[in-house]
Amino acid sequence: MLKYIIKRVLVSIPLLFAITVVVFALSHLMPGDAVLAMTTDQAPISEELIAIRRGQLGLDQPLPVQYVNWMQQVLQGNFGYSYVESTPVNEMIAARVLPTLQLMGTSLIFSIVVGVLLGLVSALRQYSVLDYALTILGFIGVSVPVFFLGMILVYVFALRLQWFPTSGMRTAGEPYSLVDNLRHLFLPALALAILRTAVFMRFTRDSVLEVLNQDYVRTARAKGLRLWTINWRHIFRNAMIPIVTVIGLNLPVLFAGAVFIETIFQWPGIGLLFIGAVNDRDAPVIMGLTLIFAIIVLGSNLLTDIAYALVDPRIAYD
Amino acid sequence: MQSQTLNASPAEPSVVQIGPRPLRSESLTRRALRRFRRHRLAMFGLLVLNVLILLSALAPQISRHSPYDFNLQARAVEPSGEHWLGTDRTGRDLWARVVLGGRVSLSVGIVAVALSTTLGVAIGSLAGYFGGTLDMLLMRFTDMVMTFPSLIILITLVAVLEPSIYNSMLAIGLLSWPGLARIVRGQFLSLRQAEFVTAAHCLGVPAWRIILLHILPNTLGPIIVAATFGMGSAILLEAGLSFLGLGVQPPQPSWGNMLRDAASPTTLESMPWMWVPPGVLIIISVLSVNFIGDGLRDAFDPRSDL
Repeated sequence: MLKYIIKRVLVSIPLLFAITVVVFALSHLMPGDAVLAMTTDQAPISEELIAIRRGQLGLDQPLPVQYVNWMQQVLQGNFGYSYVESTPVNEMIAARVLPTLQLMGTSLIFSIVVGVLLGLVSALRQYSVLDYALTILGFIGVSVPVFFLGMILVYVFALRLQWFPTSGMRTAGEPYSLVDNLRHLFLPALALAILRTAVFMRFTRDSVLEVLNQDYVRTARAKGLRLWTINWRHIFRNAMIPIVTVIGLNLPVLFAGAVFIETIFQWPGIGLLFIGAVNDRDAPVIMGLTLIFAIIVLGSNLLTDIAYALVDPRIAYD
Repeated sequence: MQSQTLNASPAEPSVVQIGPRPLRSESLTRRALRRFRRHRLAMFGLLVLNVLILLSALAPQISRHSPYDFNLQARAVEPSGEHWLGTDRTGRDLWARVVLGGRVSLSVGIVAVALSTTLGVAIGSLAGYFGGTLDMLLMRFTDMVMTFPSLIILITLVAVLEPSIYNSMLAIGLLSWPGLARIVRGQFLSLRQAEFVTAAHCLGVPAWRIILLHILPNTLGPIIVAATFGMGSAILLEAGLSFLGLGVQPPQPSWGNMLRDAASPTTLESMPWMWVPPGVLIIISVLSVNFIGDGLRDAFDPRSDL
């Protein structure tokens, strides 16, 4: 098992390396650099001074050398300074991680629990009215843009009914309170969760239906086991194996959704930071965030593979 | 099933029949078509999609007002007989903008999918047919593109290329092919061992002809299904990019940037006619494409017997 994990980690390293090259190349295609970002039209600096400063920062060296320099810094955990804010990118990102984790964690847990339960019910009652209704709802769920869903929720629950605030993470000017934070969390987390719920529901349904046709389920029925035992031990536990994969593959999608939801609800997470950086063409922030996103995607793929190997004893590790 | 199946495994000698020819009832394509026509949701989706295509193709003919001209006498008016979907804050007719916006969404969907399908088929078939080092290199490249956090790279790419409708098509197409490449490669891996390919080899048919004319037609089913679902997600991605201001640029309307225009709480509350129609149209178009894809998948599924 340990051998398998080590092998998977080693396979991920060249991928991560390739991603850093792409991120570096993309950011160099962007107009502007660190020196131009420091100068403004109000306080122009002479061409000479710009050239000297570029030399100090190593920006006049060939691109491969610049890439190596940048990688050395990144490997030490230094993503450079924001062109716009002039603060270290690390600090900017660190300040935004917790809100995003809160938002994503809440919606992930909600969507897994609700989605798997609905999918299970839907499959066990195949061809019932409930099954048809859930299937159609699932179809709609994967066809709705997450930002439109967010707008509907704001309109209904924040503007019309006024049950929840429209945006932000807590009420400005008031001391932090958990209740206030959770009230702000509810709508964005729900918007993000509903669509993933639809995905998890569809996969659970398919997976359970697949298991229902297996011989060992028929055997269990023929033995006269209690319905609950069959559903839980024979069907559910085996059906969950492919669902582990789906959950892992959906983490990056959840991140993408967070970009939209944080924009609509002005939730101060890394998604909002990313969109702001893209609009400002703030290359160091974009590079840092893209790398972190890539590491998360690779990491979740890795965890998925390992979890898959753990829950399914049929998988050979070598 | 005596005819060759989509997943003809190399071990099955059923592809070449020795002795009397079996009775052939219908071709694979005909059977798929027949099954597709029986799929009610898919037929419904096809109908709706055609209506949407017709509406956006005829956009100038079926709107009474220009989608671009300001009309300061009729600012932010509710839907009425004069302005079917009302007007925005500068008095532009929203019906005219919504139907014109459909052109953007549907054409980005079609062009992006055409691009990603071409890439996916080319890379998948080369990797699957030739195998060896080429296969290894192409598949590692595919893995790499697959590992990209796609929306994040997409946003960065569009920002670098300068936001526009053409760059959205390009970026979406360039990042959406890996799934298809894997499917096509799998199909080619199993089909290149088939007897009809060996026969073509022996006859001296060049590789490109075997790939294009002998193997590719047998993999069309999964390709069409993947392309259909791909169009649904391309429409969603374009709407998302435009919503973030990185896709279609104003004043040209697209469903995504119309939602962006209405995203402020005041507009959300006081002018629902500004954002409900484009949002609903995104859902309807993606939903009908997904219904069609579902019908096609069932129709081409070699495992199911209907």
